[in-house]
Amino acid sequence: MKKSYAFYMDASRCMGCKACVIACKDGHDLPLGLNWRRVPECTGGAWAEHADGTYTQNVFSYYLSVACNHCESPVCVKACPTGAMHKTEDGIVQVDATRCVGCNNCAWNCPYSAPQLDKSKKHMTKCNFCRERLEVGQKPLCVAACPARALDFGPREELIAKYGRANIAPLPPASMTEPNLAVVAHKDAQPANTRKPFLANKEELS
Amino acid sequence: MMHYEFALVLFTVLIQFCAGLALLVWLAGVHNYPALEKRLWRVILACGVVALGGSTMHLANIMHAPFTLTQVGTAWLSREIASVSFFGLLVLLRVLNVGGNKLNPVIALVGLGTVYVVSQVYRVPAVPFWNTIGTELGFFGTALALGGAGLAVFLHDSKEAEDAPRALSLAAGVCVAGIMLSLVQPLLALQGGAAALPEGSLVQTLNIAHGLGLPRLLAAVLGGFILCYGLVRGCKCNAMVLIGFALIAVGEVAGRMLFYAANIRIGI
Repeated sequence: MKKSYAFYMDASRCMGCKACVIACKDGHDLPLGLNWRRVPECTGGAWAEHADGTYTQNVFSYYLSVACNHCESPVCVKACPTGAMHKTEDGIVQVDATRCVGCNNCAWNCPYSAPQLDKSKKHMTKCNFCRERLEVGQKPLCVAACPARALDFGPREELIAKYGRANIAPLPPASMTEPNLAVVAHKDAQPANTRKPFLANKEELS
Repeated sequence: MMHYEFALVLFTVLIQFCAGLALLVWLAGVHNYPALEKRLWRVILACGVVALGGSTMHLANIMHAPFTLTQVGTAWLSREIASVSFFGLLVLLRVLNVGGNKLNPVIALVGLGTVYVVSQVYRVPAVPFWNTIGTELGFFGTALALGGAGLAVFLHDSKEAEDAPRALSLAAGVCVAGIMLSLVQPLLALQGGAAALPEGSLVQTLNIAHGLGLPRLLAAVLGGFILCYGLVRGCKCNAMVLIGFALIAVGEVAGRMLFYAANIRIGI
């Protein structure tokens, strides 16, 4: 059986520079509006004025770097009517462009918005873990580009056993799809089921 | 701004109309009026063809459409296409008068099954507005509302079925029940959304929906009232019944546009 990988992200090191986003977009020559990797900016908290005229605050800010998490239970694969979206032997979820009808059903089902329609190519596209680079022993482009070394990848079972699956807002609860994304949480990270709105770059992500 | 794909609005509403009308053809015993029955099957087939044709506008690569029948074992969307195709084939047999009216109950049940299968495509755990029993109720509601109203229009217009009070009452009753079911959907959807989505998303959705929500409600209620009034009064003029049908149809289309606009997901 082939080795399968997971992404690893240390949110306490990420500064939100988005070098990973740009490296992915550039390396895969993605058109305007398509980003396989994205960085949600999470901010929250407030300043409180006290009776003695002093202020205290609990404001926070943290970033996550998210692409397709090549989930253990990929809902996109289950929803695909053509079999174009499939999980390979090495655990990578990828699109077979020769079968994809571009119905967007995978995109509706994925809570990470990983599958995206490339209108010029007329099929869905998504992160393929830089399969072509892995095969020659290189790191995925996003990992190689991270200046803070916040993003990494490694053997799936080892990383998930050590860090667990990402269960941090604004990501969905890990139980939905069992993402192969291990995250070291930022000290202010909010739980995945929080209902407080704190996504600061919603327009950029949508 | 409201985002929806009109191809899917057209497809789902028309297919549900076809299924509802096929159900009413069986329940109301329309086979007793052969000319009317023939006309109705032709209407159902025509609407089905338009629905299926329209749905392909939503696909990025129509050349790969045959592959959509390959995942019937796992994907509800694949089952939807198979189910709609089977329903269409049965209606075509009826139009060609193959199998006689013994096929009517089979077509009606396959139609109901198709409505259920279509509803399951939208039972997406990541979309709380859709992932409620309201989706099934709303889709069956549309089928009954439009099927009942459609049959009322054709019965009222038919000389052959001039004296068919039972069928007319059934059509009107099913139509009103359908409208009520259909109006339950947004309430259950809001409940589902309120329980799972961030507060901001909920407010955003309500802001989007309020512009079309009230006209949708008014069209459905007023349409149902005008249709029933036209039937009860024994009005010889078809205009009232037709206006009632048109308003109900507008209400259902507006409701479906709101449904698609509520595609707001958990996560990013």
